[in-house]
Amino acid sequence: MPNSRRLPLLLALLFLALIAKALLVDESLQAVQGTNLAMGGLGLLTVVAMAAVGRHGNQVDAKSHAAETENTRLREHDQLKDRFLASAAHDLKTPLTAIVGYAELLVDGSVGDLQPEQKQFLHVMDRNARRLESMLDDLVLMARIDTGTLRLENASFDLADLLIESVEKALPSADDKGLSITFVPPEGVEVAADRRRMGQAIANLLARAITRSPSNGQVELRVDVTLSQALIGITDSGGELPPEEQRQLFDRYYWSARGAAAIGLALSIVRDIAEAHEGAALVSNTQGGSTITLALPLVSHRNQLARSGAHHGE
Amino acid sequence: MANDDLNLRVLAADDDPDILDLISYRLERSGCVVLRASDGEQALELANTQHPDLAVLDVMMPKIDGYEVTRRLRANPATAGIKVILLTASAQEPDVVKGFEAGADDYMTKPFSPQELRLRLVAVANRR
Repeated sequence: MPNSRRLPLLLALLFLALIAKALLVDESLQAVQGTNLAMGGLGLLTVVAMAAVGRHGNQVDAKSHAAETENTRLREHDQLKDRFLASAAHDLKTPLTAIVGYAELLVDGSVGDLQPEQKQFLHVMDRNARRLESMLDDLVLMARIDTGTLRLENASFDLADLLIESVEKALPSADDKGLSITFVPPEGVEVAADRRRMGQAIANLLARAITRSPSNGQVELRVDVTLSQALIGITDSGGELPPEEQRQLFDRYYWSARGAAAIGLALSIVRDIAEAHEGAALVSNTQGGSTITLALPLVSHRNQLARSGAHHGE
Repeated sequence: MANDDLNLRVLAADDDPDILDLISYRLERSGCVVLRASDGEQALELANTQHPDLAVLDVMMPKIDGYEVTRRLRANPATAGIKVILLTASAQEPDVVKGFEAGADDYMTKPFSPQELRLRLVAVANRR
């Protein structure tokens, strides 16, 4: 089909995309994730349509000008959506505070002793409330990245401390599955990063490895140091990843697109956090499982000179 | 867990009644007298008339937000000595900086642990 005949079709497509997107902004009050997914798709459609329109040059100057105005409007809607997402996550934390806080009062025996089973059930509630919290953190972070308002609070810190904390937080859910986490804390490895964000990334990776590994399986966390980078590798025992999955693993909505009942933000957030730190997130297969490695710029390593001749993981 | 006797007068302000109950319950069990406010205006009034040692303030409150309450407490010599802990939903830097600039002594991110609140309260109260 010649370009000139395709133009009306593309414009119609663009128009439809705009209407659908405008409608979706209202609906976002009810369905944040769905809207986000759909809007991502529509955004792409709009961009494709715009690019095609652009190719026709002067002939459609007036129309493309109108489309540009529309595009500005869309960008504003996008920002509105992101602001909405950030404040929604904000508001959702208040009921979460009540759930976690009252559960703690019950567990600590403030209102009388509990049977072991009652305690155990409260722990399950608490653990799930924490999961909800980390998903909310992911949503807020995503909104910040999209609106360009993410500010990293970088500081140098000892990597081992953060990793020990992260493993401790992940232990209850590993225990529930009968999983063991193998981890030898690295000594004297210092990185410059936003500690909280890095903790968020590592928590996401541990959660993924725990979900992926079978009951009584193994999760391994290891740190290798090169001259310029700390490589934090988290390995599961849930089988190797097919090449197609490896390629798209960090794509936002990858899981949703595959029909999984998951928001699927966790890994794209990991990559975003790594890249914001001028690092990277990489995936590879290991025997019987997969490894995701976070590569972070190194500040210093106590044994840097001694080790510089013999680094691993490359 | 054993009850303790902190013997502090604490102003607690949050527009969510469940959170306000949670804070009050935990602190009263530790021997505090809790003055309850459900918005910033009430918080300021209680601060001016009841002379608490410490204030635990939600940042997002109707009428006057937690930052502004903190600022006004600091601006008035009669209430300038009240220690302030802010409750925020975000540990994002601008919010935290804003809190300290307003004059807060510490902050906690929601969801917070009631036990941690008690510990921070003690730490802040003992600060000179």
